[in-house]
Amino acid sequence: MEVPDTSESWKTKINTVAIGATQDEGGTRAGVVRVGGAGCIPGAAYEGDAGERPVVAVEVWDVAPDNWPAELTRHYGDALNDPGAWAQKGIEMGADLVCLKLTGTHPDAADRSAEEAATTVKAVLKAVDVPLIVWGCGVPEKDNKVLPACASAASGENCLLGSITEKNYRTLVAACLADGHKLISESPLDINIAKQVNILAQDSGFDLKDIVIFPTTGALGYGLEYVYSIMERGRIAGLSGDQLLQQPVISDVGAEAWRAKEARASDDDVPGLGPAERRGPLWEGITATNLLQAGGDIFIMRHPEAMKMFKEAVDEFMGVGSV
Amino acid sequence: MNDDAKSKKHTGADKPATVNILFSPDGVGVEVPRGTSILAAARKAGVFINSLCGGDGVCGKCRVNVRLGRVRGRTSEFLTRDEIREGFVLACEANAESDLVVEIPETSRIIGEVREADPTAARFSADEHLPRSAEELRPLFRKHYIELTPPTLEDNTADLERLEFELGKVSGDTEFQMGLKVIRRLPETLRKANWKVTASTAYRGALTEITDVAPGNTARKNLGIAVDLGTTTVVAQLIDLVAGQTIGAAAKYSAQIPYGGDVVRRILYVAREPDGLAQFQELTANDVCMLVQELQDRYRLGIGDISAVVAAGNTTMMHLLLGLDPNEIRREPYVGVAYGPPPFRAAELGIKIDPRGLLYCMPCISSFVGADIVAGVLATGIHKRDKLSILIDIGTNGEIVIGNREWMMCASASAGPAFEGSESSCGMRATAGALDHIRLADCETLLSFSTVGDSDPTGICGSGYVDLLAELLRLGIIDRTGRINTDMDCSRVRVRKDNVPEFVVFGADETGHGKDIFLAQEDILNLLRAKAAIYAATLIMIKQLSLSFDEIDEIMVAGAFGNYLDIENAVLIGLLPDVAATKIRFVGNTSIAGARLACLSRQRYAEAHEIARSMTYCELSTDAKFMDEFVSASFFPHTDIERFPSVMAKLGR
Repeated sequence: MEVPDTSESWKTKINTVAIGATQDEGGTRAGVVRVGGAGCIPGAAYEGDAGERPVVAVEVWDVAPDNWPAELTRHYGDALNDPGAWAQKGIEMGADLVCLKLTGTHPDAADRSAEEAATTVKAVLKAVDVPLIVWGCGVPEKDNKVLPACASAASGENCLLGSITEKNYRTLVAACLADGHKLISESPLDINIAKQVNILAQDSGFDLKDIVIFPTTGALGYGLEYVYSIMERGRIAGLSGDQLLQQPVISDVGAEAWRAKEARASDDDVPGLGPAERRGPLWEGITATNLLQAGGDIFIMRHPEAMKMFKEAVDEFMGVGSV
Repeated sequence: MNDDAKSKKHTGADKPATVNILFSPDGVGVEVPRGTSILAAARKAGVFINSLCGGDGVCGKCRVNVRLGRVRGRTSEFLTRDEIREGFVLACEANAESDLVVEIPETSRIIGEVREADPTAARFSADEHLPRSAEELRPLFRKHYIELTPPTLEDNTADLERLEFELGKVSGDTEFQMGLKVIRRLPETLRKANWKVTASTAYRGALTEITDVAPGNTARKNLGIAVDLGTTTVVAQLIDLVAGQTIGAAAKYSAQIPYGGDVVRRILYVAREPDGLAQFQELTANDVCMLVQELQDRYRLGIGDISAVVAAGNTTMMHLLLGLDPNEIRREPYVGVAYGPPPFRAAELGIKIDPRGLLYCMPCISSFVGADIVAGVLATGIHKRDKLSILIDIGTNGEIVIGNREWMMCASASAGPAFEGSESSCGMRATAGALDHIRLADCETLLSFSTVGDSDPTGICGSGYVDLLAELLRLGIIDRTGRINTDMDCSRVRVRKDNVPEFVVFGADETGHGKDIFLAQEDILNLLRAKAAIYAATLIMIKQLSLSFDEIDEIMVAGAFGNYLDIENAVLIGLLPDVAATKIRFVGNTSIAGARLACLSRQRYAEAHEIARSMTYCELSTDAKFMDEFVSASFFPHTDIERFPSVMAKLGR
């Protein structure tokens, strides 16, 4: 008996978004990272184009983190005090690009100024030649001062800047338009709001093709399945023709995974769960691998072992079902 | 300041003999002797303050807020410490010691005459649905003048049977019932009146009650009251049951509002407070009484002229009117005490009309779909049409009915009272001074506007809000989430101290009350949520029935908007689905229209019960998709812009 062909055919593809600009393109990057482009759901290359390979961005902060567990900090050492050096280390670990989080600009943290943040952006751009993601502290008033300064400092580099939300998007949209950057649109695990933020950006003159969606991330054991279904729904809608969900997706895996007590607790605190050096990276790696199957395109990560594990999974995954 | 005034100010002993009292928001002033009570001053000024005890300080209903000036009087247990601190006093207990500015709170006043919704709506109810034939115009309460043949030795039928026989001939009714007291009085009445009497009859299903027999001919004066008992507003219409015409209308905000804006909070209050139910029954009946009183005064009627009240409202309000415990309405399995109660003696419920007059309740459908919707269906005639129609009633709850003569389905979505002009900074009902239409040329210039009664604007009503939102959206002053764009160079946009932006429609110098009229950010978000709830509920029903909006013949929009509703703008903001404008019709307050119909026609009253029985209720709160559709609709006009092709074109996309 012949096995019937049950493969789906998809109407549209996910947008391909290029991050970074080489010298020819007006920037200083050695290469450009392309994400998205899939014409099928992940792991179903027999139904369409698998698109660009999912990428890893190493998470770098503008200030040294004071609450990272030893299992993380030991891999970076003194580099944690120098964003440029930190970024370099991340690239050595295998990351494809750098995600600079401006945690230190948060008014409750170091409250660093827009000028200081812009200086850090320049320093990181100088230290590495991969494309850059710059992410604000999430306080609208502060981000609206800091991110335009960073956008201008990185003008021409075609960075990915974030994030805009339903309540705060005008300033950052204008800054990205002026300085030629891509944009992260953030929504709180809600398909409708994801679409709404994109409409708002579009209404402000931003091209939907220059947007990457951040649908919010949750770690293994901490809402992962919810995140998974939201990402999956969004991806299926995008492939089915919804222009407002045809954007590649960014997942903030490292930050979420390392908030889990299973990842960060010391061996003394959780005897029986296995050694921290194995537990933490596994937690991060498994979270990332899951979200890879839900349709993630950019994965912000922290631990070198987790990155390695994830990249191996991607290798395997990209081959699945291809004809 | 002249010397005279100065000396008054300096010497406390030499107080002025008279004081001036200004009542707001009426803006009426009156000069009275010092020491006069505020209530007496109000009466002199012709300003209405609700007072049941007539000034004995025992009803606590006449609370007013002294904004400026000094009063003397004893403290009252009717006021809370907070109220006293805010300046509340009982108008009957507070005596003016100086010039005063007194504000009469919404719940203590009549908010003016309600106009017929719009010319279309007037025609709509008059042409299509008012009883036309004599057969149809058989009011619930009738009066028949009869001249009986006096008994003789040959014709020795008893008084009652003699009356019933004659009454049967003129009325067409056959089975009568009658109270013992009325029968006991009968021989005297008949004989004193020389056998010429007027018999009042009331419809009680298969039976007709002879409620009273009065000497002479009083049959020409037979009036009824139709009441729409809304969560936020109560509206009453005075109806001439003989001519089949509406004489006038009055409205007020519900006296229950201070106890909670929605019915669930009120149910909880009733459950919690000892005597809560009795208190609420009284509040509800008093609201009706106030409106009846207002109409009686306005049209110079006596209490005995009004024979019947027909009330429509949501299930909770109907329970509260009757003093039925509403507590089970909000608890699983959501069961009310009575959905189709029989008529009761109005006096029994504290409603002051003819002591023998009756209160009829329009029937409810379920705990969440009330008599107001049944009345709406009755008034719009959905239940008689072959083609499919939708009735969307926008009140504190948005209620939606879809169906035709074969089947009907209804749902309720809690939308909040934003479109009723309640709970918004400058919201008001569609009464004199309410902005009901507006066009903006750009963000600075008003192209045109109108207010109800062409008065100076004092607030914004539902249709004004619909217009405003559409205009602001069109001009990009608000974005599609409803947020005001403060980056715009626009002198009408201002930012409050607490960082909340507002759009100023009229400056204080342009308004009727000397205060700014504006749209605050939180008002917009309230309106956005209200429209989202209504649209989402409608869409879910359409989807559950596997229909599309294209298959609907007509969409009728009911509710307390102003004189009219700009349908195109209502579609632009996503309140109504994007279908051909000719398919949408604004039909005004159908709850009261239905109650009026029932009042005028027994046949229609019976039909209402038929409607209540045949309606299927669709529970949205258990529908997992509701929240999703709600969020999707919480955007102007909608997240799925493809659902609004005409709007997409207008917004330039």
